Amino acid sequence: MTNFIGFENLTSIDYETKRGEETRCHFCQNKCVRTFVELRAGERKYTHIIAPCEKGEVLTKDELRKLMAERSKQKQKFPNFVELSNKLLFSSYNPPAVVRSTWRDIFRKKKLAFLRRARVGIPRVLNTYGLAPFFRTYLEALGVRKVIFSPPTSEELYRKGAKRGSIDPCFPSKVALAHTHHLLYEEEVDIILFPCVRTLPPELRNAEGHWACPTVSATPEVVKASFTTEEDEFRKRGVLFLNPVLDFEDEELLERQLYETFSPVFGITRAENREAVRLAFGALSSYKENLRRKAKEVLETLEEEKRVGVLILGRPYHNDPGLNHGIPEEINKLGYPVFTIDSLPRDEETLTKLFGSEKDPLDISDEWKKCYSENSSLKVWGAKFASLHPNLAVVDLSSFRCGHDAPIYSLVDEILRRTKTPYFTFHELDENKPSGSIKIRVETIDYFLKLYESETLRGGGA
Amino acid sequence: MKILFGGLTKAHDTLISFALSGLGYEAIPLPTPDNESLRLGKEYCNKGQCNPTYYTVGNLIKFLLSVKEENPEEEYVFVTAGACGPCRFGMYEMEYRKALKEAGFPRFRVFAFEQSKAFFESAQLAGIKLDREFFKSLIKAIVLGDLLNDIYYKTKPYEIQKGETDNWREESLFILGEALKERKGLRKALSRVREKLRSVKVNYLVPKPKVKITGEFFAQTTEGDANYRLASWLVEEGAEPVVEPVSTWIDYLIFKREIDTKERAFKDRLGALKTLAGLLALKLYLRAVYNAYRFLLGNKPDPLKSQKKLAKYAQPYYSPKLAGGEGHMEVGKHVYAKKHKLAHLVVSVKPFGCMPSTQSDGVQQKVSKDLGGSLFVSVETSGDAEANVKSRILMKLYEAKLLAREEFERAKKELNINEERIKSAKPVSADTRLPRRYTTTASNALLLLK
Repeated sequence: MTNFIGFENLTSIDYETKRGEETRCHFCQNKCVRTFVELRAGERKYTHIIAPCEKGEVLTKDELRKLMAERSKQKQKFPNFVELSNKLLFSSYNPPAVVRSTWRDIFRKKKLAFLRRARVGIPRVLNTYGLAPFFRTYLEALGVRKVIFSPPTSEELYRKGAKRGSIDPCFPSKVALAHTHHLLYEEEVDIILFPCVRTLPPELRNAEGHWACPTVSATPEVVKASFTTEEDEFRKRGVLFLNPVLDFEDEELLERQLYETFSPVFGITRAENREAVRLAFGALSSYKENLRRKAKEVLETLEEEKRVGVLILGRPYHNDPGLNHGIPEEINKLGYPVFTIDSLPRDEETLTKLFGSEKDPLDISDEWKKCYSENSSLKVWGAKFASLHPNLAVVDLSSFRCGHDAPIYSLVDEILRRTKTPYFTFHELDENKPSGSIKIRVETIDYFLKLYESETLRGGGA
Repeated sequence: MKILFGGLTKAHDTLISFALSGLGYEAIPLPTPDNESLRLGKEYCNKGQCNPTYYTVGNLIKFLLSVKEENPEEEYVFVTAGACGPCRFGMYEMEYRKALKEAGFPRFRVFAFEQSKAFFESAQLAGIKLDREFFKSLIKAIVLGDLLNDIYYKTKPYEIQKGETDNWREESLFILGEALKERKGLRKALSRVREKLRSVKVNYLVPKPKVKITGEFFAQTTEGDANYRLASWLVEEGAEPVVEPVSTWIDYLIFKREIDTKERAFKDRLGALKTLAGLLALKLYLRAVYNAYRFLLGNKPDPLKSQKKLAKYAQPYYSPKLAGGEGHMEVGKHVYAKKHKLAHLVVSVKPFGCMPSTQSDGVQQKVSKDLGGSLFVSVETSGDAEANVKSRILMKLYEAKLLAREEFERAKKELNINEERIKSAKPVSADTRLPRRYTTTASNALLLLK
């Protein structure tokens, strides 16, 4: 059965475009104006609605209800792990309090009082997208009054707060100025915590190192300089800016670094700090376990139903909708579950099934000898994982000027080519959101994946 | 087996090749990377690399293509510096391998200096003995290269007979090179170099702005297209460039290891103590060699900067614990240049997309302001846009020239020296060591007239 209107009707195609008050959408507060294109071909009539979001693509409330119900059902079955991850990352893990009252409190009375009233702001940028549960739990365990994350990047947030700064690094680093501006001027905070994360928690084995990107590590220094060049804006607002150098590669060292940062501010003891660090690592593990358990279930469903999911091969900050330009969401809307590298299951059963039992599945030195940049290494590992899983396709996101992505472009391509894994790239993402071209690319991806599902996964059957 | 290497200055590369031939190796320095190297690098490397990758990888491929008939995969090996993070410099080795494979040299051997057992073993297999003598010879050659470059750029802007300084450098490279090759007579060779310098006549009494060149290691060191021949261009534009010794980088690597060891010392105090003792010995050796040769050259070159001081100057702006590229050093050097009256203008040169160097630029505006408005300009090199880079520097250079002239006039007044006295002053030998009270060389030279 074809939708082709027939050669006889081609010459009589006519259309009318409507755009005005009568086409305005009223399904949300934005009240966007839509474009209706009415197409007539012989006896047949079609109406196409061009709207900025899917809600606008229907006409009545009933249709909308039906659409939303379908989407919700689909999302439950095939979730977007970028979205899910963001939800889990920034939630509270409700840790117990580790700072208890003792007779010694008389020596730290003022500092403890500050601890209990402190509202700590953390910019929702860069490696916070992998470490937020750690920071939030650590601070909540110490007993701060509130932990506030800046909102996800948006055009408005960037426009308002990115006027400072004298350099032009990658966009993920540049937006940090706007997030700090937001915390300083739009939220009530006493402390802004923006650590220079030097190394990351090791996920892979036999690696040369677990460094964070040097641009990312140094961004807090640039932010500090930008807010203190003309005048010390932090001091003026009565806000303490803390940007300690932290090493997640080495838990003992990290514990000392945190103690040296927070003991002078909150008067905490070494034991209290140690306990808070322990709880914070617990929260980080719990976040990853929850995510990976769910991802495993979805992968199994894909295998059973012979369908394909999409792995977003990006850095942690590509979870930010302002940086990924909504690409994962657009793909998910078409019915594909979207995985992140963080969400890929690491349980023995899955890893042995994919990688076999001869080699260490968490060792990438066979593919990439210079594996010292943790997030680059994880991208290579993610590519390996997807190359071995027939139900995964890959969408590689990379920001413009990303120095650590550049050396692995061809390697990722080579790994995925070997197994003919469907692979698409959105390289050099920047400040501007090219909505039109993203939409066209996503439609192409959808077309290709449908073909892949029917021809490769279902062996030609529909 | 012939060893290929390169990427430093002409002086360093020449002296290293002599030093290695003294150890029985046939070492050939690659020519200074040029824009043809960049083109080849872009052809064979991944996209989006920083341009030292393109220049150095392309330079090697350019050479191999020129000797394609000689079976280069068997006849040559390439030795280069290596690292394991955090910036992509550590990944160059992989880029070399990829590009070589695509250029038709898949079996060509590249050795990246690292402190790993694997590197030592593979170098051994290729017939390179990495013992104490090897490293001592390397350090001597690097230090001598630093000292020659220092004197060259202190002399060249003021030479009376055009080209005399270049001749001196050529002769000196040969004299020192022969001594390194013979592995004896270095002291005599240095005396001869100093004697030859004495015969070069200079007129220091022309106020010229001093321009400190800092930035990413390769971009600030190279003398070719990769930084638009920055140092020699500055001389042509009437400035005195202040170049950075490669020894500062070696000293920084020792310092970096020292702070890392101290930070982790709580885990194994005895082990840390041993490492620190080893690092101290290495540091003392480097400084002893540097100071001894500097002394033999009449203390004309500047001393090596204290790493502790650079870190202290950088600390309020950029943590010395943050690694990658020159890290905090660019910031420390900016402060140092101003505080120690080393330069009127600091030019920080970096390749397009250099991650650590771009970030350290982000704090330099504050550093400038805190220093009372020091002159600083940061430029990115991409192989093209030469006119843009140079015009940006020229704008700042104009201000630096004004500062140099102002300081010279002030010095004249302070020292009570009139124009006639200056006009009647005779040229001096280039080995004359000037007192250091002012930034401008001309102002310091006035002190000789007093």
